[in-house]
Amino acid sequence: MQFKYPLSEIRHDKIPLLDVRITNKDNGIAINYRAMLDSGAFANIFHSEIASVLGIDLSKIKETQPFGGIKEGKQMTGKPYVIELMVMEKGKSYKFDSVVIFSDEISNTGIALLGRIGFFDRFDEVCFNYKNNKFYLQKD
Amino acid sequence: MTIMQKLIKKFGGKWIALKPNTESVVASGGNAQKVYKEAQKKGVKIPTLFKVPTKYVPYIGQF
Repeated sequence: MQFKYPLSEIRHDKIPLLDVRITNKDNGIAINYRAMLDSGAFANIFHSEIASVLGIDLSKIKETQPFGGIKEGKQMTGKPYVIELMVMEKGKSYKFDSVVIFSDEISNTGIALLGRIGFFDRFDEVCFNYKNNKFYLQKD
Repeated sequence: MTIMQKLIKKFGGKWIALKPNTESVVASGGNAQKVYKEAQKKGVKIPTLFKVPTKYVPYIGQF
């Protein structure tokens, strides 16, 4: 099963934005959320406000997950939570449980990320075809 | 101007709710939950939420 999407153009670049469905399995609340695939991100990093929409009380989660970018000395934190993610395209869908780190430290110029653990590792192949303006997810 | 650039120009820094699989904005604002509920009131059962960046900064793995 293959899910194929166009890259989103911005200025002189093209980025892999994807609308995923997130469901809180504890209460059934579901939303679609636009995030960017990032093979450089170790995990999924979502805005903490999304947790509120899903009815997740982050103050009750004791575990804190630190993470950083390439800038030295800049470390951020977030709260991990298991949700259900689903990708969809033209009547096809694939859903799986995934750990997401909800953080209120994503900058105003940043975009939520779909990373290696909890997204890339759920597919057999993730391919970026920059020249032809598309990317695809393969699940055998 | 690309779709993303138009969104940044009009909604930069805000949450927007889109009709699924479209670029049609049905609600916007500073609070994700309010935007989500407003979109549902307008008939979109499961809207797509997106926090629009305030500006486009080429991304190299840093928030």
